Amino acid sequence: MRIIRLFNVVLVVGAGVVLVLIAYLADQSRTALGVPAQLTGWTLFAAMAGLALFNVRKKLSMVPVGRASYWLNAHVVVGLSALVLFWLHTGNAWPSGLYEQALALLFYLLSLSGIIGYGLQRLIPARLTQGGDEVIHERIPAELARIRDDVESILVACTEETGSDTLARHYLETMHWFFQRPRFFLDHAVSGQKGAHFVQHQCAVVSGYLSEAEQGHLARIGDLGHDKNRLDRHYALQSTLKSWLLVHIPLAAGVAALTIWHLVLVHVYAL
Amino acid sequence: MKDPDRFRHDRSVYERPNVPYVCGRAAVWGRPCASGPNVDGTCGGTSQCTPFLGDGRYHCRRSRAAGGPCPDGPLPDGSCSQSQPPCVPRPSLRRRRWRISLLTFVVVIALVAVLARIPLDGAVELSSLNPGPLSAAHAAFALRAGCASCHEADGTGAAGWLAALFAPEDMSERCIACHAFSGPAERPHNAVFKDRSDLASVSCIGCHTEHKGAAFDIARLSDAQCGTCHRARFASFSTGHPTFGPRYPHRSRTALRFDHVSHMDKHFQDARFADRAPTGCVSCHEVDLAGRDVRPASFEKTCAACHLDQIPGRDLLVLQWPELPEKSLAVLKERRADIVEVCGPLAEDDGEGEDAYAESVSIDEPTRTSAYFLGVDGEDPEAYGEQFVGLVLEMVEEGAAPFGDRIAARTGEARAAGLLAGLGPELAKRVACAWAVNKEYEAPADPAFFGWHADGVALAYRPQGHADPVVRAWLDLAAAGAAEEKDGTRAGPMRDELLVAKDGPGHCLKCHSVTEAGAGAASGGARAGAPAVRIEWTYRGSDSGPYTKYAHGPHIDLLGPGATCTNCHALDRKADYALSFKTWKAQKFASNFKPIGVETCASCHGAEKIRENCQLCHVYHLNPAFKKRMK
Repeated sequence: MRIIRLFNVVLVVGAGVVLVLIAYLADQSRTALGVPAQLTGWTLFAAMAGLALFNVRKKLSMVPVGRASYWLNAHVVVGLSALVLFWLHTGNAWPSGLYEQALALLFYLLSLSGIIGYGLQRLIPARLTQGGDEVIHERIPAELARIRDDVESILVACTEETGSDTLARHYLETMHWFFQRPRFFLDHAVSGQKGAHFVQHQCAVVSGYLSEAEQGHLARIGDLGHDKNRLDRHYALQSTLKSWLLVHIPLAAGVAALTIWHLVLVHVYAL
Repeated sequence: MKDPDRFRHDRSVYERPNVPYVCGRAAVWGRPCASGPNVDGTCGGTSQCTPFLGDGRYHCRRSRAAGGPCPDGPLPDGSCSQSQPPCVPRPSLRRRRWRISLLTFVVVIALVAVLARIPLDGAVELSSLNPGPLSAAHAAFALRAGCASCHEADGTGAAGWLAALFAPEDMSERCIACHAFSGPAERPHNAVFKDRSDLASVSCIGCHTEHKGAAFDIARLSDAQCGTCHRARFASFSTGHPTFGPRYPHRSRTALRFDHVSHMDKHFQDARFADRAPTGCVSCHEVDLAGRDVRPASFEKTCAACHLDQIPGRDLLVLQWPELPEKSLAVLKERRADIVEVCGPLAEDDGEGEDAYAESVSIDEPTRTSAYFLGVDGEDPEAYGEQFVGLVLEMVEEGAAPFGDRIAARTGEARAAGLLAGLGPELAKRVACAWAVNKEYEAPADPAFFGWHADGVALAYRPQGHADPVVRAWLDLAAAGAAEEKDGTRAGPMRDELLVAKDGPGHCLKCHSVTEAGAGAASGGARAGAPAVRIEWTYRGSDSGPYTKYAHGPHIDLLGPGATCTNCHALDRKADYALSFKTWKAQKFASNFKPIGVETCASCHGAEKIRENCQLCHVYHLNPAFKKRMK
């Protein structure tokens, strides 16, 4: 822990020193009637290439090139530095040409999505561990199917044991919808309790019409309902945690394409 | 969910996050099969196992996680008995991310490629080649001529672009195809400074950034940028700017000699001129046309009220019948019969006949002006007389034409026409006829009020007023003649006669200064002591250096016209202004006004006052101009 803190300190201080140095050299170049855009531009390009390496690092997890947490922190610091370098390079927040405006827009959206994603990565894992359950995202469909099978097995057993189909009919009319797939996505994403209230409410509604023998089955279905609700919560949070990359990485691809075009243009047209 | 063993290897399937597809049943929230999809995206779970052949029979291989070997076992043909319809696997999140990213990249590249083909017509700038609108100055021609007007690689195709990538063009060369300066374009300030030859060359794009929009000032420089090369470092104009110099803003005397001190302190105070005296600076200086200078109004508006009557009567004596030696008189005497025949009554004498040539009727000396265009030494009576008599005899025959021919031979046809403008052939013939019989010319009537006239032994021109073109042409000839003549032996005396003498047209030079034409003339073959000079006929603004600019207009607008000129322009009553005009060297002068110092400007321009940046008063380029004309 102390090592990563030290790493973070070195990272932030190093990035700050580099930014100040680049800003100083660019100002000196501008004052000396040079072309500071070359310095800031190539530095920005190097920073963007470094940011792209993070994606490569994730794919090559078997290669011992440092812990992923170091890479993530470096990605965040270099990403924020790239934003500053972008302003140093363009001289203002918004360029004037159409394709440069498109590049700036994509770059800002990329930066914004990265900041939001970083925030999600700081918030969501903590909320996931608060529930006490652990399930990986890819196994949620299987877990959901298992719970649903368990519930339906209980219903069959209840009907056979008590000869009453009240609970089974209530399930088919109300709770079946709940167990078919993850529900209350947005509510779970914002830590709502709609799912838990739904299960509790449906159990309470039918409870008055059930015999004592059926009450035991209902209690077990209620427990499975709460299990499924926690699974829904995992699904909502983990999906959110993964889905922001569906925006961030395509934006990075767009920025890369326009950056290549920008590099070609400024060299061909000697801008 | 809280059972830690439920993911044990024999109780759950092994997840493979790198597989690009997920089970189609799981995707619709059903129970996924144990096998999962294949890498190519097909369903891998149509059967629950792949039986193997051992000991002559097939054995079930269903995993324990999926329930272990099934009770039915494999079919006789070796296939699994537990088959099910195939699912439609769905791309995993990672695969979808990759596809969207690739699609974004391709779409962006495609858009760029398509938009690159949109012409830049100025209406809607959609082209992906356009990094931004041009400045207003460049937009007009660039939109017509296209990007190629500045960028050589434009429209050259892939090969041209590839070549440009490795050998980028020098934008400065493209700039100076249109822009011109008085010095080398690549040098700082377009000049080679003797003590700063170490300064590196500069490129145009170092200061001028294009494609920033019509309103962007591409010529703007910061004070820090100016200070990069300058040795004198100072924080701002008001704190540390070097002094302007002892005679700022003047580097030479004025073109027109007007002594402000004597006029304002003496003449304008004189009760006799009170009705004509100006009431202030703006009475003479045209503030409506204020620029770098506030030039005075015309002679007629400012000076004529007092000085117009000093111009008439100052005849320009061009040709004068000199005292001729006997040899020249003998030539005339020999030709007398022809003269009488041609001139008729014009050559009538008093009955003296050939006795009239006994001695020269004129005892005057020839004019230096006539000696110049006759090409003889005016001090040599024999040589002069021969040429003069030859001219007179030709004038008897042809009037003014021979006179013009001789002048044209010295000055060229165009200038000769201006010098003799208005001289009629009849007057020339009458004068020549009288002089040819050694008789003074008697004008038939009083001399003309102005123009060419003759009387006695003189042919002269009387100016009609200020800025008379004939007088001006003769004075210009006198001023330039020394430089144009190789040895200056004829032109020098003529110049002394016309310019120095104050009783003739030389009086013009009381106000119009005569200035050495400069180093160029000195190398033009002028003889020692007779440098080329020019007459300053018109007002010339102050020359405070090629890199300095000033605008009177905003200052007048701000301070109010007239009333506050003396804030900056204070009369120097001790200066010997008149002494400045006793030499032809314009740089040796004393101004009528005290020099303007930094503190005068800094009283208004400074921190938290009016702006004080370098470019407010200084220009970078040396005499910027254009090589091409905008169409």
